[in-house]
Amino acid sequence: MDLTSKLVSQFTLAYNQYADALFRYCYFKTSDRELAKDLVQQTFLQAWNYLQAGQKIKDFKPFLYRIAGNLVIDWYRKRKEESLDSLASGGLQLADNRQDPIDQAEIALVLKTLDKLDVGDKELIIWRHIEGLSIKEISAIISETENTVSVRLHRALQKLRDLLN
Amino acid sequence: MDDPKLKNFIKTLKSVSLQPEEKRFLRSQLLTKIGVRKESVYWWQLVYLRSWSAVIVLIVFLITSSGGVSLAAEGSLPGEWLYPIKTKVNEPVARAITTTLGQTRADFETNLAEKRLDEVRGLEAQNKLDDKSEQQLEQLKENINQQVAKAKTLSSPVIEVKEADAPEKDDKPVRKNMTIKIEPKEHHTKLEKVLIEHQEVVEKLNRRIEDRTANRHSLRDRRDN
Repeated sequence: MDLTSKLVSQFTLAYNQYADALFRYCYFKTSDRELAKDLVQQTFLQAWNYLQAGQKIKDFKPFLYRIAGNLVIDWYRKRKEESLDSLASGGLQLADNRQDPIDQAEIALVLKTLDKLDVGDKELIIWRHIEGLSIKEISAIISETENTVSVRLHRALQKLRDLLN
Repeated sequence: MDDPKLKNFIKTLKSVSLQPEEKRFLRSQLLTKIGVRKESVYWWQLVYLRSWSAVIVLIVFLITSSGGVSLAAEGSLPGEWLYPIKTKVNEPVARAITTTLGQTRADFETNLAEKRLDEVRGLEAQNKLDDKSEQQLEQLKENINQQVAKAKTLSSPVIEVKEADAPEKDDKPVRKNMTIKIEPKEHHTKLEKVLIEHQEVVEKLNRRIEDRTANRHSLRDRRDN
């Protein structure tokens, strides 16, 4: 198999493995399904350009999340007049027209609760408890020590428990 | 994480994901954008013509003729030779680009359901339904039912026969599960109108199928006697 075929194979595998998780992450950050899909596509395109430039990706998962996170921040910056929190909590697009209306309502309610957390806490909860990233992987994404990540995660979870109760 | 509320919370969030067809479509777009998947134009065949003007004429001819056929197929009815191009080429292509054009899949499938109903009405208007066999009528009915089911699944599923929609001149009380002939009204959404018309069209097809069956039995009885 030549180099390009290897790259394509690696790339397609990464897409199949991580597209759903990235979509969820982008959706939870933007509350916009179509935008989330666009951001996922842009994430993978940037990853491809990186691969094409001959760079090696040691661990795809945190790498992709870093790109996606930056793309979300860029998108927020473009919308200067709205704050991060107000964007997340207002005008929520329903997750999927095809889901049962009751499920849609439940998801909307859960997302509203999630939005009450700080942006950083929300990210930690998403990465650790929804996407199953390890503490090590999360620390690689946000460039913090594993100890700091553990402590912040514990606090974020406590805040979420308080909100739910 | 023993907290059941928290567990349920996380479980609900995990249920958000791409639909399989969305995932496939995104992947396909990605592979095209990175240059892995290309349009299947066989350039190497055209090179052998050695004349670029001939190549250009051939390309234009291929594009316009295929485009012309595709366009002509749009007006075709079940049983006509262009109809398979409409349902097996045009519609899948249109479905694939639905998200790109911003139209929701629900709207697309509802429009397609309406088209299936219009086709039956078109056949009726041209007296072509009389020529259809029992099997062909069953197939028509099946195609309509499948398409309407698809539209319903993708859209809001709750359509009820409301008492307010029942014909006013009917003094009989509206019983639950009673079949009521309803005319589409202004306040009905497109899907609701399609569902109402669907009932009407399927009833018509059922009557014709029953007639065919009755004729068939009658012929068989006469033959046996």
